[in-house]
Amino acid sequence: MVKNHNEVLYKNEQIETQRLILRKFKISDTADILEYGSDAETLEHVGWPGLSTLEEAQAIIYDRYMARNGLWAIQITDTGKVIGLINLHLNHDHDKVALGYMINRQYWGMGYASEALKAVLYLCFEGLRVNRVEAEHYTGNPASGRVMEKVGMKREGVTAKSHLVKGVFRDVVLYGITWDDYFRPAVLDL
Amino acid sequence: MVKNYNEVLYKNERMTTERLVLRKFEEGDATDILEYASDAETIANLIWEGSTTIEEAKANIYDFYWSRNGIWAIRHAESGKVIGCIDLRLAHDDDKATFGYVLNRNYWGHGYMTEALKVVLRLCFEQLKLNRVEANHFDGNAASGRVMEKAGMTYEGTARQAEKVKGVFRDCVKYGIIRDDYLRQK
Repeated sequence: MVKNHNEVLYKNEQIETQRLILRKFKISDTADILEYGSDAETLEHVGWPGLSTLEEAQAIIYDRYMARNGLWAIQITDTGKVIGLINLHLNHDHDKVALGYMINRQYWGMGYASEALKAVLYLCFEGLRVNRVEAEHYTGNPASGRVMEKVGMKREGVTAKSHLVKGVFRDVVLYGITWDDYFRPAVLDL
Repeated sequence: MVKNYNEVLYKNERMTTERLVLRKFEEGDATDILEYASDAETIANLIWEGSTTIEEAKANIYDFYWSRNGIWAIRHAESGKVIGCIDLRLAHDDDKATFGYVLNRNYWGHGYMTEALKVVLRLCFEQLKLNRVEANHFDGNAASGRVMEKAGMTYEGTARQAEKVKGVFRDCVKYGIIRDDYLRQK
């Protein structure tokens, strides 16, 4: 990992892709946060218990979203709507990153998560120069695994009942991509 | 997990098996600790850097072995020698635990580690009432995987280059056992 990882993250507070802008959360995002943060089906596959009022949505911006770098709102460029978030946790000891994301259910199946994830993987390997990026999803959410596979991550295992999520023991599916995977050409032209 | 988990751990500071006694480390164990802690091959597959002097081995006792409950010296009952260590770390949020162990290389291949792990798993499920116990070993240490399998754990996957150990990226080979498995195997 580069030594100036915080500088790299601050300089990439805004990342643009074909259809999305990843950016810092703003106080004006509360209504959009409440929309996905209060939807039972959106929340079913994440550890976050969600929220039910605009005040809670505002509080989470101050308490969590603005509290650190490496956490982006996912905004659709055309409409300006915030449809989810993506975040990184750096692990300095092992030169790697864990990432997590969630998308408003109304916007599933349109490739937005893959598009955001691809941009963040690019930042991880080309900008932060980490050796590995990993992520996990709970069983019963194969769509999330397909997102990870589409961006080149590999399924590495399933740990039985390893997280207690909202009172239920869930199986966790592990995905990872290493520096070698990321930079190895898909087809070796020998 | 039971609420009085600390009480359970303190009441099980000493556990005996057929050939072993698991007990708290004592100051007199420093020589035995140094024997395994200074052997490059014994510690090759651990994050632990080991110890090279008797002073460091003593410091290990004060700084780590006595730092909390759930850490046992593995004593070979017949010879009285301390041949390794097993330690348990509880993860309250997920009602589970992970563990780590080390065994003096001269005692590998005799089933001692399996014997120690089995009694710790019994404590985890029968007394601490955990839902799951998990552990990793690094690639190139298949013997550790066999220990976990013999104790009833299941291979769950391999996270590639997931940990940097003494400057080298190692694959983490994951094993787990859930409460249902344990009770079924009994």
